Amino acid sequence: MEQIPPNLQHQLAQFQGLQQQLQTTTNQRVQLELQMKEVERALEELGKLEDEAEVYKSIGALLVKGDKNKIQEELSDKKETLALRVKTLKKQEEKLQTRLKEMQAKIQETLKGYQQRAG
Amino acid sequence: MEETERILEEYELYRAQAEVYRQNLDLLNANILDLMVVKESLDQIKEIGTDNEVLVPIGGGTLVKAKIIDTEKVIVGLGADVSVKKTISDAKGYLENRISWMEKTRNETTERLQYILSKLEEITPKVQQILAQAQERG
Repeated sequence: MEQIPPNLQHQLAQFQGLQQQLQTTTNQRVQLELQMKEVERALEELGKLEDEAEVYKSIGALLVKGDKNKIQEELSDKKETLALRVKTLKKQEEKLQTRLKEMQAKIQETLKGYQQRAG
Repeated sequence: MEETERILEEYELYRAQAEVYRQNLDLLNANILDLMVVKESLDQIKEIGTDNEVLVPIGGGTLVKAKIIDTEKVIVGLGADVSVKKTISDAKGYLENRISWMEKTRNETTERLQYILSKLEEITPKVQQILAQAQERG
């Protein structure tokens, strides 16, 4: 088996690095989307309750009684922050996908060059 | 060569997806079972009453003796670190809704998994052919 030329090795390593970055970004985005769904569901349930309802917030292992409207506000803020982070991660994913495609084309071109020289 | 790569990539993608859907199904099954147990426990709280002693687990297989001082209302977690006090009947209703939502998701996930498995079954002979050809070439 012939050795992979250093130039191609470098390109392949870069490609794998980008693939890993994309995987990490996608995982982060999926996690945040799940968190956002959870916040939305909690907000929906809180919306059904009367203002006097006894609502608690987890602080570590403790549950602390809080004001329903204030907790709703906090959750809405959290939802907004999560949505913003999801949007940023989606943009990052798109950029990484474009770079991966470019990298793939580059690798194919390099390979073609070597094959032509070898043939 | 490109066609071979495409088939192998597709196979790997479906295989990874099937794994994720299987894990999700396991998680959903465990959650449904957990909520069903809680629903049954709620039914028993009223029967236990405020006079009887109960044993409350505090972790590590250790239990403390206690008495339930409120058998009418419980605190239910809504997710996102928020919990709310509900009557036993409201809590049961809430849990029932969560169970039906999870059952619906479980059905959708099962359908999706079956689709992926059928796709894998379709591709597997092609992948085996590619592998056999590669072995022949040495």
